Amino acid sequence: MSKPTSGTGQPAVPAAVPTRWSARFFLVWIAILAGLELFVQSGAEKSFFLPAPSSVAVSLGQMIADGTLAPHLTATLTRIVLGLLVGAGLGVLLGLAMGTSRRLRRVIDPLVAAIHPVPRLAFFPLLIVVLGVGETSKLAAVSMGAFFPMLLNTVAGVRGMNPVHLELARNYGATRRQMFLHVLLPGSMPLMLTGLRLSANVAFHSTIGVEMVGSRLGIGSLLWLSWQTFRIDHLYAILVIIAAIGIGLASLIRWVTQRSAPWMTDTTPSAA
Amino acid sequence: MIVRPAAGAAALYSPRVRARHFRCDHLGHTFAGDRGHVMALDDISLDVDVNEFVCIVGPSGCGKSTLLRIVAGLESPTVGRVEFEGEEIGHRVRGGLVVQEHGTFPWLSAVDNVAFGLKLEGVPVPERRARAMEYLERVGLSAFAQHYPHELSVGMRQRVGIGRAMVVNTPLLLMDEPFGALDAQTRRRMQSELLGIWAADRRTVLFVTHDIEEAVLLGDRVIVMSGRPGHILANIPVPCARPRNIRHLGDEARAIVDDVWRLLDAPSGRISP
Repeated sequence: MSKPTSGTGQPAVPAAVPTRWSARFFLVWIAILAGLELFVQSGAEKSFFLPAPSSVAVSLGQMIADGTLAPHLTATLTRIVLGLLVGAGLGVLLGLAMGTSRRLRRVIDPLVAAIHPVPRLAFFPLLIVVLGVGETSKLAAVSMGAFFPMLLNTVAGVRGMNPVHLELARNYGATRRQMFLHVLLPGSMPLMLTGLRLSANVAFHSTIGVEMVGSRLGIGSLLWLSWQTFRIDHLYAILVIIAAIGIGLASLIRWVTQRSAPWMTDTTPSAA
Repeated sequence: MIVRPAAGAAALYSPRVRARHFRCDHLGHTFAGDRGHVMALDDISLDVDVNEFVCIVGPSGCGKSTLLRIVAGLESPTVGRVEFEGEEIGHRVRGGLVVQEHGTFPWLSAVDNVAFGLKLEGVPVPERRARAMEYLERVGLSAFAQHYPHELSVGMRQRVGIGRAMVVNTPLLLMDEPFGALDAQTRRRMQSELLGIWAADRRTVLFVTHDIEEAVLLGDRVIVMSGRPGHILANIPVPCARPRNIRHLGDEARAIVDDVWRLLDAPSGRISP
C-alpha cells in the first residue's frame, strides 16, 4: 500500500526493497539472546520454564543430528502440503463454479454459512469415526481447513470482477471458454492468491492441532510429547522448528504469488 | 506505414465513397428498475456513414452511453433496431470499444493489452506481436510495451485502450467518453493525437462525450441529445476543414458550440435554428 501506484499523473516508480536483514537487526537479537543467556546462567531464574538459549540450541542440534526430527518433520510437511493441495484445489474448483453460477451459489451458500464458523478441529472426532484413526482422517481434517478460505476468496474474486473488463471481452466476441481463461481467471487471481495464503495458514495450524490430538508422528505430536515428558528445552526447540516451518510456508506462498500474478503491486503477504 | 483497410469490403470503406455504415431505426430503451421503469432512450433515429466521425453530446444521464452500448451490441434496444448495411446487428461489431475508465486489463502488459482482440481471434503469436507493436507505436507507447497498466499514467492507459480498439480490423470505433478522466492538457493532446491516428487509419467513429467543444473539435457531425428520456435535439454537421487546429477554435466552430449550448439550455422541445 505504500507505493504511489495506479493514481493519476506520472508512471509509478517501483519502491526500493527494504533491507530487512540489516546488521542492526542481528545485533539487537544477539543482544537479547545474550541477555537471556546471562540471566538464566546466573541462577537468578528460579522457575523451570525458561531454559537458556544455548540449551535450546543444543537440544535442537541433537534432535536434528540423531535423526529423531527427520521423520516427524517429513510427516508434518507432507500433511500440510497434501492437505493444502486437496483442500485449496477443491476450494478453487468449487469457488469458480459458484462464482459463475448463481444457481449453485443459492444451493451451497447456506451450507457454507453453517459449516464455515465451526472451528476446524471440532470436526476431527467425527472424521475419525467416519474415516478411521489413520492418515486419511488427518488429511481430511487439514483439507477441510484449507478448503474454506480458498472457496470464499475465489467466489469473492470472481464476483468482484470489474464488469468493464467482462464487457470489453464480450465486445471482442470472447467465447465462454476465452472469457474464463483470459478474463475471469486472471481477473480473480489476486483474491485467489489471498485465499491460498490463508488456506496455507489454516492447513499449517490444523496439521499441528491434529498431530497433537491424535498422532504419534509429526511435529505436533513431538511438541505434545515434550510437554508430557517435561523436556522444556525440547518444547522450545520444537517451537523454533514450527516458526521455521511457518516462515518457509510464507516464503513459498510469496514465491507462488509473484510467479502467478507478476502484475500485482502488493505482493508481500503478512506472515500471520 | 501500412494502413490496414477495415475488414471486408475495402472499396466500400474507402474515404471517397459516401456509403451508409449503420442506421439506428426508431430506437427506444427502457430500464426495468426496482421502482418502476425508467425510459432512457426515446425514438432515436440516426444514420452514420462509413468513415464518418460522429459525436454525441448531451447532459449526463441522457442515455448517450446506452445508445453506444446498443450499437456495440452489449445491450438490446426495447424498441427499434440497429441495422448494419441492411443487416440486423449480430457479430458485425467486434472490438472497437473504448471506455472511460478501467479500459485496460491489469494483468496484461501494454503490448498484450493491445493484442487482446487478436489473441481471441486466434492470430498466431509472431503476427499478433508485430501488429500490436505497430499500433502501440501509433499511440506513441512503443517504449512502454512491457509495462503493466498500473505502471502507466491514466492518459497512457487510455492510449493503450485506443490501440487495442484499432488493432483489430473493426470498421467501427465506439468511444464512450474516452478522455473524460483526463486533465485538460492531456485531453487536448489526446484529442489531437486521436485525430492524427484517425486521419492515417480511417474508421467510422461514434464518440460519446459531455464536452461540447470536444465534440465540435473532433466530429464531422454533432448529435445533441436531450435529458432523460434521451432523444435527438439536433443533428449538426461540422463543416470545418481538416486537419483541424485543436488549440484554436475557428469562428465557424465557435458558432456551432454556441448553438449547441443554446439547444441544451432551452427548456425543452426540438428547436429549429
